[in-house]
Amino acid sequence: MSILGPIPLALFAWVAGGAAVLAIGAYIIKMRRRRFEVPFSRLWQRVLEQRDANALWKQLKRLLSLLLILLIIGIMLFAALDPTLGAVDRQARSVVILFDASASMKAMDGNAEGNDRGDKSRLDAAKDKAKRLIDGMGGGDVAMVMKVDGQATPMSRFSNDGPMLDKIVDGIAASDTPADLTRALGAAADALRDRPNPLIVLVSDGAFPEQQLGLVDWGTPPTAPAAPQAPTTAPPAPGSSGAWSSKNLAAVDLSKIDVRYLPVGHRSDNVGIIAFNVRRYIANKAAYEVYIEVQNFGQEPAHRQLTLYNGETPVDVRKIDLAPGQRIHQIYAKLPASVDDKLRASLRPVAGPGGSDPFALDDQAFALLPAKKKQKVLLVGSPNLYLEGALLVYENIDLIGRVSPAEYDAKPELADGADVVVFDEHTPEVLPPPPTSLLYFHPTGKASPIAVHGEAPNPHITEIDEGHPVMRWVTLTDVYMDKTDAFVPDAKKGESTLAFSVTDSVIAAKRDGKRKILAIGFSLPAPGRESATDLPLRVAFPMLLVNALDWFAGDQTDLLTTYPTGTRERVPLDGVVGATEAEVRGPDGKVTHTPVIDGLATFYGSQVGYYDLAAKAPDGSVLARVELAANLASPEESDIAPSQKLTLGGKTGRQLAEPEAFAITHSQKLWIYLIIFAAGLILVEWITYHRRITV
Amino acid sequence: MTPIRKALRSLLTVAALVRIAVTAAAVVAIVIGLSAWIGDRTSLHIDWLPTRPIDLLRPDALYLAAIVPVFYLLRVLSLTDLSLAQQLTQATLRSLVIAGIAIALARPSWITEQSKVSTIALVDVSDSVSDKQLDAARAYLDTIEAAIGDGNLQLVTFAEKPLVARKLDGKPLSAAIARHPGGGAGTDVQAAMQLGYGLYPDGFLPRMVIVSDGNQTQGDVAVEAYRAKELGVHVSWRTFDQDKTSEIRVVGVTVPDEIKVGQPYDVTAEVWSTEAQKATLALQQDEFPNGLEPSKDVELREGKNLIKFKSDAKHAGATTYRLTLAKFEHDTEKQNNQAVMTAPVKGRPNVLYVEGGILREPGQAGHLQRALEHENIDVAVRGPSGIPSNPKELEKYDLVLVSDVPAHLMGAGQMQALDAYVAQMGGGLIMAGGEDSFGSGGYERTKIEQIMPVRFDSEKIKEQPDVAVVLVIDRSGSMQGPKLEAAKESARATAEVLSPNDYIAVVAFDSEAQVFVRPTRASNKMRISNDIARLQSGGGTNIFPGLKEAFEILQGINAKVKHVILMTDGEAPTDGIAELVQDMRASRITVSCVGVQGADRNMLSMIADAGDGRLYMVEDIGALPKIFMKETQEAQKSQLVEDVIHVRIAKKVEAIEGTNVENAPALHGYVTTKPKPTAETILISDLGEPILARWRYGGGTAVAWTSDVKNRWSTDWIRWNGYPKFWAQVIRSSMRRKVYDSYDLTAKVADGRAHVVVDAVDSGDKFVNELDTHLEVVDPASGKTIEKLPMAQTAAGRYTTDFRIQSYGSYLLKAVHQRDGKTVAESLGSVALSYPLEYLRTTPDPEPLRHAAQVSGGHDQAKPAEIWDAGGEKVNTTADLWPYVLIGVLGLFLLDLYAKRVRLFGYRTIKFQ
Repeated sequence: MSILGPIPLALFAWVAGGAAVLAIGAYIIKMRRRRFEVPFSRLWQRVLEQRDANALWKQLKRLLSLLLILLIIGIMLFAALDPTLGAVDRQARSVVILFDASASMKAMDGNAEGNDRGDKSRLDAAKDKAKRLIDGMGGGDVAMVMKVDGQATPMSRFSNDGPMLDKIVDGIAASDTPADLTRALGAAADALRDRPNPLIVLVSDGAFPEQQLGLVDWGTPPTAPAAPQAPTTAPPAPGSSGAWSSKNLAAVDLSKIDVRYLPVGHRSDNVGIIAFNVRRYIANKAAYEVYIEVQNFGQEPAHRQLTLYNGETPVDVRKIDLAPGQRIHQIYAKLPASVDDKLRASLRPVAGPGGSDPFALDDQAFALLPAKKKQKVLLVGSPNLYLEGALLVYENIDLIGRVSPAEYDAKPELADGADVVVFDEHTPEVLPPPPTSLLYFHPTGKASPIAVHGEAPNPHITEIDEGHPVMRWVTLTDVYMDKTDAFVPDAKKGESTLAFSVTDSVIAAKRDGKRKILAIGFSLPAPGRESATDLPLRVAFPMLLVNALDWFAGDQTDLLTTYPTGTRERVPLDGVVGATEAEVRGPDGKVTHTPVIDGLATFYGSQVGYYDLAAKAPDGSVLARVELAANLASPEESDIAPSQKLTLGGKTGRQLAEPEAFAITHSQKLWIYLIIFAAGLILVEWITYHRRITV
Repeated sequence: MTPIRKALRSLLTVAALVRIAVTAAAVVAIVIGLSAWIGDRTSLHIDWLPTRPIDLLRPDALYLAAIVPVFYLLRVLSLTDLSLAQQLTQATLRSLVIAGIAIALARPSWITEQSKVSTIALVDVSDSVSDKQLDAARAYLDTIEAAIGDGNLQLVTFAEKPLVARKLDGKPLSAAIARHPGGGAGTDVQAAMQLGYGLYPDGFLPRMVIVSDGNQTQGDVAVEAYRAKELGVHVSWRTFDQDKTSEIRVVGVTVPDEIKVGQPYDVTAEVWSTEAQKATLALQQDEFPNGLEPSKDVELREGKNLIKFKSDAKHAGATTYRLTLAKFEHDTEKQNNQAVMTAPVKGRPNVLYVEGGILREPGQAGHLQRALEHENIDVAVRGPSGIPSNPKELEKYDLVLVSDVPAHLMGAGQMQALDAYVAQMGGGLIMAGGEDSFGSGGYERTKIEQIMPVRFDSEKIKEQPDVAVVLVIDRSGSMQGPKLEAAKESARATAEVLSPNDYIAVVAFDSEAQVFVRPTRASNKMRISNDIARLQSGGGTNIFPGLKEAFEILQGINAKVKHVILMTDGEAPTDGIAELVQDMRASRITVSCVGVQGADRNMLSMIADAGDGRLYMVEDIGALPKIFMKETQEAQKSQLVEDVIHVRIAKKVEAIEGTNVENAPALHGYVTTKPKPTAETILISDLGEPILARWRYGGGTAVAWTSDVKNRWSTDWIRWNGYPKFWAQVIRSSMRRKVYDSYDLTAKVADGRAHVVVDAVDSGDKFVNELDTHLEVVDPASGKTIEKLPMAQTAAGRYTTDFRIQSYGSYLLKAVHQRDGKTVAESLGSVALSYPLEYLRTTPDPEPLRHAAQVSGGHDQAKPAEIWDAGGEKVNTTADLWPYVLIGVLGLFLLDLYAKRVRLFGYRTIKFQ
């Protein structure tokens, strides 16, 4: 037994001593005898009969009474020390309650089966079940509550404090993400490792993808530690040897762990939007397709009204009839323009059979239309048909003019208002202010945006950075150049090489605060230098220009701006350099932060709706911003049909039973029993006192 | 009367019954009141107290207070003589005692502030951490433990998985730091942090200190840092210097997105080295050394190195590469010296070969056909009319090769089909030369000329006398009569068909040779006719002097095409003729022979062969003039350059790399063309005219090969051992790159999961929607599908799925796209996880840790004092109040005791019974 002693010991000693002294003092005080109003003869008879006996009995009664009082005081004092039984109960279990707080737990069918009033969510039903489980825990059992949504979060440590655990369960809110059961089982198994009688109880509706349910290894526990490997010059062949090579990477090791399941929910009649996205065509960037997919997960036909909103304006309303299990796709290639380019799809039940929907979360979905920006481009250089021709074909730009280098140098303000300035064979000292982006062909001298270390004759492109948006779909193999400048990009300044000729940097890009710069080391063909390069004669040339202009505009053709909730995505943040984190404003207006590494922000949508990611400069100005939308977009999660039985580990796996009652063991916390006992004594003492058994 | 009866009887009085009823009503009222208040709540939040809000965690215990009225009831039966007021005081005090006990049992608690620190040390024990670093971590933990104060310290060790390490009796906590047997090949800091959250005791400020090299293989500490911040956990970190080690690691192997059987391609190995050093890399293909380049000795530079190996695939399906670091100078970690990659291999390229020459000689297509088939290219050979006029029918071919098909055999529809095939469908078209190709095939100003990278007209050639024809006519005795007349007529007809600037000469021979028409421009028709008229029959037959005379005449003329037509009807001595004809051939003079009734066929055949001309044996002498005219027209095809041509490389491109074409034998002719301005001229003749030129035409490639592909001009090439390789490479570099029966499939590995995306875009740049798609994950070793997953459509034309990679190695991915149950397309790709990422990152990378510390308010390279410093922070903790309530109850109980023992309000008289 151990004493927790929540009250400071000195205080306790004073209290205990004081109480004892006061109690004993009370019995030292002599009370005057009671006064009886009695008939005289009878009195004497009685007095004579009991006098001697009374004297002894009275003494004894006082002593007993004092002892009882002291016992009560002692018990209460002892209880106040919070004594705990230290001996480990062999049957006591370590429990991780995996509490499913995924989106499907928001389905409003937590009432008992057959009761479809829909005023109780699955989450509430799950809370009731979890709390019943906690309340049924034996004295030695300890439990940890772990919330399962797109992540696995321990909500408590292992504790046998039922009320505290109940309170934690009550505080859990469901998120808008699917559940990552594999991760949760892994985390639970980690937490239970080395604990006695491990038990996982999954409180859930069982709406998990088959694949996740299969990734469980019930097998034998790991054997003896692998012997250290002697160093060899020839490494082991993957798949043939090595401690790691034969391991099943995917499965969660649940050997020696008892896993139980508490199911909730009973309805399956859901119709939901399982995909909603906007995508631009790869070649024709002005055009896009909006894709919506709706599925009826119920067993009955369903009728819905699908409304597509552009901003707040409904742009398309149609009634859709879905057979059981049917999926319907809708594609919109053209939509009327709106102010904010925000699309929202909404499903509404139509009166009639199948006209209610217990799961509202997937009845709304969000997407963003690609922004259309027309960039103003100024050309600085001698007339160059190749360049002007290539720029003219791109409809997303507005070629505002061409000025000669001399004109530009005389009046650099000419470039004011331009989004992009192309310097062809000219490297001016004075540049237009940011955010005007710059494209250089053959920059030279000290004013070169990226330092030049020399000239390379007869270069040929050996390697390109395919990951950079400027080089997307650009093939530069076999391109002829008579010579090129070789750059020396400095990664610290946000400079990087996009094309190498062996080790020479031929094309380089730079992100300079709010401005982007692309420098091409070689010259374009010009009068007198027709054979400078054959690049303009290739498909790669207009592609390179278009990519560069899109990159300047922060416009990424193949970026989908809609993501499913609960997945971690790396979103390009317009090549921003130097920022290590981005500010995320969620659909609820709450601002959080996310890391930015190599210009990619990590995005995790936990709610459906629109998100705004912004990388900010130290002065608070926005360097780059991207708007995203998050949708549930998970057929597995929208298929809310609960599983009353759950099998983990695939076909050869185990079906999970409901948890049995915990073994009844005494609570390790003794104070409750002590106090209840003291209360009983107090009651008894009250009766005995008034009946004159004690005094 | 028994006491029980007595008691019962006393209860039956009206007063007693009223008291019992009132007590019961009071108990019920309290219960109802409490249940209305508690409801179904499991805890009660009381915020109406003047102090702090209080939570009752077990409010059900409050029902104990319902027994309070019983004290008042029992008081009635009291035998004490204390006054009623004192009895009521006692009952009230006792009620308060019981109510206090009920409150204590209801677990009252409130929030208090604490500034004690609980630290969880997360110690990385993965394989990337050296033993020395681990020892440093132990020493570090000891210093933390030494400075613990009133704090709380716990330990989690982590590699692939986190593990709570418990303190061993009598030993410092650091003694529990040990590697995880069999589980060191990964680092998941995030999981360790998540496990740590569940370990903090109440009432402590939560702190974490991560002792790691910062290399993660799963999860993301930078992301988790934001959650740690939300939970108030400050994450500090400490990393220890690694020994200066040399390391080479094979990062991965990549192959082009699309590879086809027999098509050479580059396999690129990415190797990372800590220093410049020499190494040997061995590449295995399907467990055998890579055929084209089994190994390479390379000089690695510091950092990333890309090393290319040439390879090709022999079979359709899949091919697996294994790159091994065979020799090196310095290396530490051996687990990362090998990488595998499996790539899907498409079937053999399919070429449609249309050969005009097979009309004349069926075997002519055989040379190229055999060569290409040897190079794993499927060839369908067709005659000149075999070009479909519907581009759809061309879709199944990757390239169309048109050789020596005259324009008049190719209709406008077929040209249109070829145009659509190349421009819109991205097909490849090669036009190979021959006498019926390019300009000489009549293609000037046709659609084909538009497609080709060369122009077919030849302005330069028109300006000068280009053809010189010498007729060598037998005038022996046997020619007398109609034969000689026919010969004269033929000579006149020859002059007729020649261009005005061309030269003609006529030499007649018997036993001697005599020049009847001196070299004269063909425009001088009258004089030629008169000179021919003088021709008369004479003596014997000796061809040699006639040919010799013709040779001498032609040597004095500047013409591009020099041709001799020999006509004879008899047998003649062959002495010296063979040598003479060879000399003539060497001077670019060709000789054709016309044999009339009874001529020596063998001898004429020998002359025509050696003279690279044609042989005509004529029975009907009336046909002679036509033959001469045709023969002259043949020679007049001035765009043909028939000579010994040595090709020269004008531009080094991948298509001819490794073919050794610069050392190829000579060609014997080609068709003159001029390159268009934007074309790439790859091979040129001695005269600088294009032999091989190409350009992009729309989405496809058009190639002009101005020599032929058969045994006329390429007769030496056919025997050259580089011929098959050359043509295979030219064809492969020009054929259709993208076949739209499959879509782009990309797979990326992150956190042990493969994320697979198929972008279904058709040839018209339209998204392909509503495909039922599933992904098959195939183990290339067994060819078995180990997993089959549905792919959901997530956007227009985009189908995605992801799966956990089950074991190290490479996998073939096949997305099967179906519509109405029928497979309409298959997209192939692959994914590889060669070895645990743990061995890919063996140099410390504290950046994510630094970020985590910055985000969560932790310390970089944290010192023990910093870890235990609360920094003025307080933590809110729920403190139980019941012990204090119990003390209060004790006080009340003592008061209650004195209320019993001390008479306060006088007496109550007891009636004696």
